[in-house]
Amino acid sequence: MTVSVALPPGEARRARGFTPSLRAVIRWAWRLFRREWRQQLLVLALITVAVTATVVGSAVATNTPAPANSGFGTAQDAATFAGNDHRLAAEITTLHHRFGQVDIIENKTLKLPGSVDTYELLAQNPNGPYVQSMLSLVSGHYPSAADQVAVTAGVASDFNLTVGKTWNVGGEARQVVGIVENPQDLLDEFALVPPGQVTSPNQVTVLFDAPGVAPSSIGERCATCGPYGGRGSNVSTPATVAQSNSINPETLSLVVLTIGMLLIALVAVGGFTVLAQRRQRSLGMLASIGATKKNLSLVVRANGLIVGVVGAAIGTFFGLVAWFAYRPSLEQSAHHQIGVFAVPWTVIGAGIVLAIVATYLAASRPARSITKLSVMATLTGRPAEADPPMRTAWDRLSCHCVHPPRLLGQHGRRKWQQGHTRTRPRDRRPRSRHHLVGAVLPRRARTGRPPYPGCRPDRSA
Amino acid sequence: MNPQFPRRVALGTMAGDAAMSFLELKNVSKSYGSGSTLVQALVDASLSVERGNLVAVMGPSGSGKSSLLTIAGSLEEPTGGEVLINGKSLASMSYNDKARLRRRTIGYVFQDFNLLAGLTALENVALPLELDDLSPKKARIAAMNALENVGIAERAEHFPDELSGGERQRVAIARAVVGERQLLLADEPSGALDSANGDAVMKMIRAACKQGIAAVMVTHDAHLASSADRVVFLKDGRIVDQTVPPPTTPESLLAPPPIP
Repeated sequence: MTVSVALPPGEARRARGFTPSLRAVIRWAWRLFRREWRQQLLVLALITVAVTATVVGSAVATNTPAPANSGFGTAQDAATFAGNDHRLAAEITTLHHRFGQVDIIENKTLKLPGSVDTYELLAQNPNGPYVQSMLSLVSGHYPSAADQVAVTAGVASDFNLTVGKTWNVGGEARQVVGIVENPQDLLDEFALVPPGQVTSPNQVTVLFDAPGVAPSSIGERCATCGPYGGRGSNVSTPATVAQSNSINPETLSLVVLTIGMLLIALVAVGGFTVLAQRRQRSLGMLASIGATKKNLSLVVRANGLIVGVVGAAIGTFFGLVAWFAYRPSLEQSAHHQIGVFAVPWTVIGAGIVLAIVATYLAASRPARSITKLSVMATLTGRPAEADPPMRTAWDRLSCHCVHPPRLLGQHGRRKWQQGHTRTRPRDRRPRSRHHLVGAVLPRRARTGRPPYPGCRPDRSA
Repeated sequence: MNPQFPRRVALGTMAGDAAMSFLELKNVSKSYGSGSTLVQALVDASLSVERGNLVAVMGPSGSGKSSLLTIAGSLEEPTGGEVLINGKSLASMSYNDKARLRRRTIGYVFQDFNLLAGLTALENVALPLELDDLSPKKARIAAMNALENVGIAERAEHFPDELSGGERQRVAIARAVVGERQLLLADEPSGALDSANGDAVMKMIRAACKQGIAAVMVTHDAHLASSADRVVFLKDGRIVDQTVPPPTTPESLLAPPPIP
């Protein structure tokens, strides 16, 4: 029998790239996780629940209010004007000339007969470049002639209208040709007519795209080329609308998530410490075959990382499934359509990263502790030796409290000791004092050591 | 002189030949605990092992055999004395230097195998090489060669809990000799095995020694110790005797060692 297993001569020991040692250690950590995942169920469950809650919570929080681009369609800017502005046509021409295509929405507010409620008479091009996401055809077709109108289901109900009926609205008899809705606001009640078919509108909105141009600068620039100073005040963007909302749901979600993850990390520290103790012997085996402190630490930290990644992945999956299931209900209660994937991916991404970072950091503490043990202590599963007592201010105070002579000064100390030597055997004194110190500082009592040199009895006195 | 050990060797002569020694322990002491709980595991133990030699360490339980081995294997620090491996003192090495030594130079075989659960036999054997940053492919080739040499290549993809005791110990030996190991330390390698497997393990250790590996083996089995080049007796932490067993009369070692 031969046991010739030497490496070939000249074998390059070092490999390039992701070092084999790291790969080997992480592979083992992954195998251990697969074998012993039940022991980490608590941390895994906490991470999963936290990430699931983050996905669902942030999606609901950000989708419940009307979307920030509600009223903008797919445009990035909207300029609003009074319907009776005599410079309206010129301003629209200027915007069109400067920013390209525009969409014009003429709006007239009408009262429902016998009610304080109102509805809108809108004139807009259903196939305009920006307004298509603000209109959705439920049945029939969009109005294409001056005597045609499409209404929302609410207006049809209020006026008892159906497709094909004739309805007198805005002073003209029009045929109802379709039922429509605004997907961004399902409570929006309006009647839609072709562009230019609303006489004396209350308000005219011009949608356009001005990328990289601040709303306030639109008016200023145009002030040099025409009589439109101050228009910037009535130009808005989805961002400026969102800023006016004092509570940003995404920020709120992130704050709640961060606090939650901090709490989970605290629990995870305990979980990973117990796990590291259970695996102490295995880590000792690894150390005995030549693992460095970095390798040993990496096993524990990689385990934390794996728990974080797996927990985050499962949590994201369950969160998205829950979101897909809940989204139709939320649409009903929020009164606007919500996209299937209209979730705050930034918040979800941050949640995943936080979950992974939290478990990694939680595992780092026991990882550091395990590297402080000797190989044999790790291999035999012996507990770590207690740290030597620390001399903190509290230690000094407790020492003085339980050792009155130190408070009495040199003369008083001699007197005290003379008195106590007569009444109490000398060999019992230290034990009694240590017992007291142990009672004050349980850690010392655990170590079974004298408190510290400063507390030793003064034999010379 | 004990008539059962015809080649009795003076303690000083075998412990002092540093020029040839690969492993050398000089007056090594080890104590555990303190005060009333102080235990002297080793007292001034000196030992040297040359390349290609197999030294068996015998003694009653608690005599310090395992401590001697763990100190020689850099798993534990001695309280006093010095350990030299290939002329280099362990005392001057950092934790990571010692780890490198265990990866490259020292192979350790434990009584209870100490194979890593979750890794296959092949991965267990390749692990020291991978920890030393050898590419996984090359490490696997070397590991497979090692498993072939101990006759267990067909079980390479099995996990430790799917192997018998004898097979696990073969894997442990393969792991201990893989690479360019020069010192093999075995702590009762046949302690958990039946006699047939024990003999097989012994043959493997002998085979490793024939290739120039220095080996130290702790054993209670006089039969196994008889195949060593030298037998060291420990009692109460002290090396009390060293003998060269006669190759043809292993039964002679069954007699209790003389106590000076």
